[in-house]
Amino acid sequence: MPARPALQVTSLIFIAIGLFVLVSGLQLRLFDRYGPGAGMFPALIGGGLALAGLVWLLQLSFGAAGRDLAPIDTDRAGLVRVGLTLAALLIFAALLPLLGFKLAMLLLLLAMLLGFKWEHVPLKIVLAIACSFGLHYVFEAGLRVPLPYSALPALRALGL
Amino acid sequence: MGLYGIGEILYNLELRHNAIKAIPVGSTLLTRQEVRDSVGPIARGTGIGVFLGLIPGIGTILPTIVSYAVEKRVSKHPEKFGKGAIEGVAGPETTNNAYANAALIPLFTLGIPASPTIAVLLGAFMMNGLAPGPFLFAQNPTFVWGVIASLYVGNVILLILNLPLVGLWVKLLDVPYSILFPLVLAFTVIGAYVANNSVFGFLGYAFKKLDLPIAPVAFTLILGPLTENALRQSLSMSGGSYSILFRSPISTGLLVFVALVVIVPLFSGGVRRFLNRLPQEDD
Repeated sequence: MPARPALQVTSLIFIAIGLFVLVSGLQLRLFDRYGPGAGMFPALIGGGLALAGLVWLLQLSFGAAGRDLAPIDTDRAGLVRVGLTLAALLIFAALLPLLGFKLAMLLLLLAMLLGFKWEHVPLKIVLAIACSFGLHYVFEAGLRVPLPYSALPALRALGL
Repeated sequence: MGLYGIGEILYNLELRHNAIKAIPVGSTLLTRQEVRDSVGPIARGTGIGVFLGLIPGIGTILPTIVSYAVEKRVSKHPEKFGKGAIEGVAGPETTNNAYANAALIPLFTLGIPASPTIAVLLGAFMMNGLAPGPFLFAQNPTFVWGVIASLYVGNVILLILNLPLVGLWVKLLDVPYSILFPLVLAFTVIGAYVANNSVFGFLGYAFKKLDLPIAPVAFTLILGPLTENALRQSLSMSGGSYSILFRSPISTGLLVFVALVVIVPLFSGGVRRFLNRLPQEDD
């Protein structure tokens, strides 16, 4: 895949994000009676990002920055793996409050371990259980980092 | 965590590193000749690492490259570099360690993170209600000296873990990536969840894929709220007048420096082409 169009699209995304933040900042108040308002910093940062994105786009389109760029490797199978992993992470994030950390992590690990290669199945199941429940124990008991429990009363009663 | 960790996992997952094999590890003890050859590079590496560690924004790669280049330059047998010369390892590795420790000095004294890793550390400080800067030593001496002591303890633990167990760590490469990456992902997801920034995983992957540096995003995420607070405080003090930013010579000097850093690269290509053209016109 040629790099220049991909980077040009990226610069356009930066410009769009910058303009969105700039407009959002302007809609808030730039100044209030105490000095700078809530919209001041977003407006400055958004404007700066949009301006930098525009300069980058111009450099890519007309300057030396757009020449001699190495093409971006695109392996279809690799992209599918990345897409599936991202989808699994999004599902994990959605299930986390509902099922709690232990079950959601168990499902994520099972999907990741068995989804790409169906081999060493008993070992991978043991690893997934040990890692999900073990990590929860280590973080809660050892490091005292609270991890979420299930929102469902039935699962919560089971300590999940 | 999301930006670096998940982004890296996704990138490696796309490449699928199946071909990595553990290499056999021999003795980890240095010979007398290797010790003699390492003394100079270690001394120079320490100096380079400490000096560059004091400069914010250098990053971890540049000091090691500088050290490698210096060692190659001063070596009597530069042709051996890249083929097992101990100086090419001792210098950059010492620089790396010296840089990592020295980079904490701007953080502790000025609250400025010198590298993305230190920026993550700064984020951890702030999450725990600590404000790095000149007052940190006075207000939280137990914490500061605890961190400094932990560097010594950490290095001793590293020595104990790495030398006798290096063979075991190398053997980890034999674990199939299809088993290794979900486990690494699990740890990273917890870190990203705790830091509440899991959404940046895809961003990290996309930046890596497009060969864009991730460090500015990490700096922005960590320094953005700090900068906003500082700017709001300054403008509140001046009643909204930006002239307060230019009243102090140090502040003005720093702002001019930052402006140059932003503007000069925009025109450096044109200036270089102009300068290249000059001798031809003379001819």
